[in-house]
Amino acid sequence: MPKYIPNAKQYKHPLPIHPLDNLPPLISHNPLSWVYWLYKYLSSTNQLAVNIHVELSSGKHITVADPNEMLYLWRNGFFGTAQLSRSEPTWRQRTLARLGEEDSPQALEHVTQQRRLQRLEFKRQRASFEETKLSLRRQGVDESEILQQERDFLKSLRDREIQLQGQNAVSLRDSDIELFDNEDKLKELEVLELMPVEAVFLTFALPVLDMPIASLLASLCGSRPTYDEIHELCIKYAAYHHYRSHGWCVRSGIKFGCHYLLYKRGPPFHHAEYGVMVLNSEDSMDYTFYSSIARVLGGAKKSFILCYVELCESQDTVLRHWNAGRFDRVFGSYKVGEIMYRRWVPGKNRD
Amino acid sequence: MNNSSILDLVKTNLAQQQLWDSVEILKLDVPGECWVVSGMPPHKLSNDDKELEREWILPVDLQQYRSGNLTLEIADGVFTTLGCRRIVLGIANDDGTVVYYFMYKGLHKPKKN
Amino acid sequence: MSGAKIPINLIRGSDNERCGGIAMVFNIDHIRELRNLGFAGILAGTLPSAAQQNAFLSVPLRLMAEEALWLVENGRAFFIAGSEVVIAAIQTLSLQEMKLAERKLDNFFAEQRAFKQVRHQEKLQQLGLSSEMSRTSESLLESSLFVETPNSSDLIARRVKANQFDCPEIQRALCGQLRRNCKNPGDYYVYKALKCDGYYLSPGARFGGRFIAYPGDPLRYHSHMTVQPALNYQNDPLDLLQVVSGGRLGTGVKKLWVVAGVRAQVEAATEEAVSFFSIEWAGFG
Repeated sequence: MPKYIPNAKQYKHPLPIHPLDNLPPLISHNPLSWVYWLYKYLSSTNQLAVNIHVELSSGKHITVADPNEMLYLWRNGFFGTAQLSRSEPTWRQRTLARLGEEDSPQALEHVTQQRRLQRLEFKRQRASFEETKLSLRRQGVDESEILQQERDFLKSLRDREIQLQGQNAVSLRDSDIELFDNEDKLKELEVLELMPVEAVFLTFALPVLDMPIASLLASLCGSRPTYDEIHELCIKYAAYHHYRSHGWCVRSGIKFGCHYLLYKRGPPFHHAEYGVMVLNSEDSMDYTFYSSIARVLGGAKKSFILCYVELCESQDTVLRHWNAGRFDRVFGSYKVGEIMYRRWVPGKNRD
Repeated sequence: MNNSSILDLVKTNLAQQQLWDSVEILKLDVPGECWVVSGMPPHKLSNDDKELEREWILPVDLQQYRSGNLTLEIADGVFTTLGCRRIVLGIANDDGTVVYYFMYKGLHKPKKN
Repeated sequence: MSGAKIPINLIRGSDNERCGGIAMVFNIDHIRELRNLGFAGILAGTLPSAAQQNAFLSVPLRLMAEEALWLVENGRAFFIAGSEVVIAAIQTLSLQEMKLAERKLDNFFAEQRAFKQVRHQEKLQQLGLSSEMSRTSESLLESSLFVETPNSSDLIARRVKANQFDCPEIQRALCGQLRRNCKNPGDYYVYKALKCDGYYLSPGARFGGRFIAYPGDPLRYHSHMTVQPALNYQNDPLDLLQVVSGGRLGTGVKKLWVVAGVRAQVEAATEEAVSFFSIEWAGFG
């Protein structure tokens, strides 16, 4: 079992580009150390030794397959989502554990899955007891007697649930044979997928991926796009870049019905505090649009940010910059402003 | 509605993350390149279900840069072609995650909790 | 008076062009009758001195445009165009009547004043204080006088020959005006179809929908459906991000998220022209 590494150390860097942190000590009375320091300073670089390799499948799925690179992107700013896991790539470990191949600690997904199954079973049992109760009542059994029986029954269920939690049964499916290659090694099925805006950020803003920005954008929007074809990507990217530049960890908000979630540092540290919906500055939606998103986010103790992106240039100008490869000017043509939306209940929010 | 580009994503997700059995891809006999994935879940999905049954998943693409193309008419067509009481929408986000939603034809009672 | 058509006042704001009117019912007996017909509506009357409060609302009852349209189209009610009626009724008032009303109010105040003064003196005596009325306590007393707001407008009931509105041409015109100004015209077909199935419907904005559907009177039943604004069956794509938030919302409050598609060629739309789909989180993924 790997030794426990504190989060603050494991996820030390907020972005996959690091400050020069291996400089030798500078000793003021030793001129030799100045020279050495200067030499190290000038010869060091924070450019990655090898840029991370990405593949494009079906035109717009941007994936990273190398396990080390997957881990690197996750640990340095929480980029990408592992396709078979909740967020961090854990499929390999989980699968080995499920098949009894390795004594690994239970991954998060496994625990969630077990818990859901147990809840389902609990509810099933409880429903069947409801029927028993009904028939007892029909037979005229005393109400307090029924109540006692119910208590005993619920307690026995609870006990069983607690007992089950300790176990971790191995389950093998016929199809699991196909997961192993000829040498009996587990195939690497899991890849890390980057949202298009993440991929743009890691090429346009930081030199991390091994793909030129022009060809990435061409494969996302087409080689000679119209303004309408680039508009959505541009406003989503403007918002993404805006929050990343302010130090937020930005991840997809799909599970909460919004565009982005903002984490102060990243998923292992705290829950996301904000859910962001990216809108055109002139957008005006039906009230149900705002109220339903706000309720979902409110239920998860998150605040709802309406992020309005305004185009400050003409569409033609933006398109001209795009075609000339001046993406700094393209994304610089947008202005971002936000409004926080919160439900206010006069009876409850008096302070 | 052409959903062919996310079929493998949803299929692999069902088989390897959700651990479904006998997961298959099928082309539907409706206009457009409309495909469904079918398979057996590892356990009953809802306590209201009488028994474990084969489920039908309609993979749909949630693109944040374009509006979707699943209309209610298309959904209706899928119900008619499959003759099933519910389908599962497999909503693929552009970060590669898939989330699943039941869709019933008509007004339905919420599942018991 | 059961069985007679219920008058619904269409109140229009200053922005006459864009507003089809707000449907209000001012008579408490009519409100009771509507409840029995399956129309809960929302009580909208508040206190003049505390207009912001919403715990003690009273008449009038506000109806959704769809509810009002349904009632009128099904011969249960008829519209009267609101402000004109009130203005017409006021114009019939004679100077004498106004003076009479004023005197009545003055008498009412005088009664209250006398009563309160006596109580005040008693209290001061009990506390052993001088029974002289101070200036502040006098003004305090003035501000504590209250005006009684009647449950129904005597004036409108007496003066307006309501049935002068109840002719097909006027009703059709008022219905048309209300429908034209509905934000999403398909919603009315959705409303009709659900009403036909016996559901009680209320506005759904608080729950993230167009309507909330109850299987019976909202005071007796929980709602289990949040109905979304109507979609065009053939052309409108389902907004998947909304499916996600709707499904999530529903799981928390045990409500299904219902979408309804209205077929495009619906000028003569019947209930069959609406298709419903119910969506909920599948419990995994």
